[in-house]
Amino acid sequence: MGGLDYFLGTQSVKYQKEAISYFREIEKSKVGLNKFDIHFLHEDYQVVFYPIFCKNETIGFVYGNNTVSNAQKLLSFSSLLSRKLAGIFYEKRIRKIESRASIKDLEFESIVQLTNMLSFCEDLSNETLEYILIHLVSLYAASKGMFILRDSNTNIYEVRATFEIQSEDLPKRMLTDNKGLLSELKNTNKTFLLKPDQFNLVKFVKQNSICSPIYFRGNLLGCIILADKESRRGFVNFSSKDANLFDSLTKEISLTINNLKLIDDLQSTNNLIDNIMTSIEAGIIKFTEFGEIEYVNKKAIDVIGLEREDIQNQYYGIIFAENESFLEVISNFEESESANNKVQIIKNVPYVNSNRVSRTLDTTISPVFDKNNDRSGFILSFDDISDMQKVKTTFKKYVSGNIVDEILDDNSKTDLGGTLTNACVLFADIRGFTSFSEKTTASDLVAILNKYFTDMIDVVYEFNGTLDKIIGDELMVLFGIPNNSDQDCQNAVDCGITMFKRLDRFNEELEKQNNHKLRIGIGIHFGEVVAGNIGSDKQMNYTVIGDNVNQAARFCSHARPNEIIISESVYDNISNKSLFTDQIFINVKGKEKSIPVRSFTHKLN
Amino acid sequence: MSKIISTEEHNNFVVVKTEGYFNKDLGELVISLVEENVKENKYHFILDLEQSKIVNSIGASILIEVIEILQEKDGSLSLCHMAPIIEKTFSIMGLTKYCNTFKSLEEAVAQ
Repeated sequence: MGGLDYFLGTQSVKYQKEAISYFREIEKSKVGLNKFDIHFLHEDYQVVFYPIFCKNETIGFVYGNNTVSNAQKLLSFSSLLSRKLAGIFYEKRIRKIESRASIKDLEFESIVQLTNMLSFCEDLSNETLEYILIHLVSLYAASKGMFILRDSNTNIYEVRATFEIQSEDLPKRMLTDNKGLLSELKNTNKTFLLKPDQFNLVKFVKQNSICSPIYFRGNLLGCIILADKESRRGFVNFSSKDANLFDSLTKEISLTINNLKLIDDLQSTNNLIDNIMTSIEAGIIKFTEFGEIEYVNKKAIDVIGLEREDIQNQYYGIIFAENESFLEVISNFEESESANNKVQIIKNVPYVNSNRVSRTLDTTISPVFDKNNDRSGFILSFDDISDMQKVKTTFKKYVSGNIVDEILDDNSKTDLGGTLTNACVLFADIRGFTSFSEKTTASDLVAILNKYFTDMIDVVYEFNGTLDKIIGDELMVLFGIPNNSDQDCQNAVDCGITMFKRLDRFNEELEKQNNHKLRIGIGIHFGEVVAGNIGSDKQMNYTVIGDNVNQAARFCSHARPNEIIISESVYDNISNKSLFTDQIFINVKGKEKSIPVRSFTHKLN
Repeated sequence: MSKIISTEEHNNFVVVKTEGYFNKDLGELVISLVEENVKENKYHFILDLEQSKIVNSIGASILIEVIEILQEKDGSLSLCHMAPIIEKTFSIMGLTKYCNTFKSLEEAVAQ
């Protein structure tokens, strides 16, 4: 120091102890030291003091021999030192402020990031929760963290994410909200600052922890725990400011979790609906109020023959452009006034899809309403009855179409048993069939019979008859079975007359082929019969039985070629009575008395 | 747990690789290591943060102290393999103004 006789706090200076104790006394006296005060420490030895200031406080002094040159140097030195110290102090202070500002900036940025991240959360996976937890740990300079959520199915709480917590510190028992920390959170819905060992759940905490509930509409869903806030000097307590901010953040997280739960629930509901829609056999198409297809199920996609993405959000007029009938079903419904409240059922709607596959659909179309009861669209459901149609067509080759429809429409119709009903029974039998068959080859005979039956059965169907059975060369036909009407007798008679006419044409063809002509006789009777399934569970016939059936068969046996014999009960129910003879009496097998009948004889053209 | 997983020397650089949460504990491990090396006149350091995906403000402020120590010796601290969130934290803390940052260790060593 260039021979300067002053030092600050060293042992080599004279009267140092005295100088320090004197300085302390001045300080205690609250008189303080002025910048240019000269103090005399010893009567023999003049010592000059110059204080060192920092933040307007004397934090020390320089002193030395009171010589002119020394005093000047001491003054300069104390001023320099004071300025330097002030510089250092303010620099440190500014740095501290900057550091605090940076940390605040960091907190703010972390909150923004966390909020952004929450808004983009797509699921509630453990990875997502861990990501949230790590963000919070970092934001609060915490050492450890734990994220607990309740399983909505079991209502048991699970540790879904942890940070820096040893496995031995994780809860071993089942977590419920009946007691402990979770019970406190459930009852208060508040953020807590917790001491170590305050609850079993936070036994991993060394200093203190902060715990905030995740809840929705007052129901606890879980919680987030952050433990042991770090500082440069070691762990410090989380402050109430930390608690307030953490509370706000967990509310934000609660909201996100609830949204995700709602989305999950919605997704589950959608999946359930989709599974139901996929599992049902009916095709379902949902249209918006503007006619756009909002939803199609798998069956509908199969029938339409396009991909889901090609169908959905398209206007129905485009998708069904080539299916006029189907299009009409929808457009008629849309245009009808009843579209607001009624269900429209249209059956047997033809549909040809993009792969040129033909279908037959039974459609039901009904309006859909929103929560305000305003119409928000409509749903078309359809049953693909194409297979049923095939079955019916095939079945009708073996059984009369009327009976097929009856059986397929009502399962109970396949139960064994019968009911008493009125029916008109027609028998038609080929006359002289034995001699005819002897004169014809077997293959020709089968061909001729097949053609004959085909023609006759066509006539039966023309008059709404039900073919009961073919017994050798005999046809048994029912009118009024399964559904009767007051035209049953008229239909039976007209059917018989037409059978003769059709047989004439058939005979012309036979003649051309040098075959013998066929002649038939017909018997018709109307009366009470038992109609139902007769046989066994494994094989049954839907037929009629009873005395009146036998009587019709007897009339047939009695009829000559080209003759129809009808009973009085039939005669009473027909309009073309004039075609028939007056009442005649015949004797039939099994009847003691003769029976009144009338006859019609077909005249050949 | 957070730790220093390796310390190696490459091209006059001391390369320090860390693992886990870059917090007070890990920060103090790093600053101690730097101080020891400074005594051996090694002033250029690369901190490889590939295995450290999270940092807190205390960890970042300790790194500022490390930078101050090295600046007094005309040394340097380079950072590499920083996760985006760490890079952002360091940037906010003003740390990246006083050190070089690199995507890979190779780039940091070749600087």
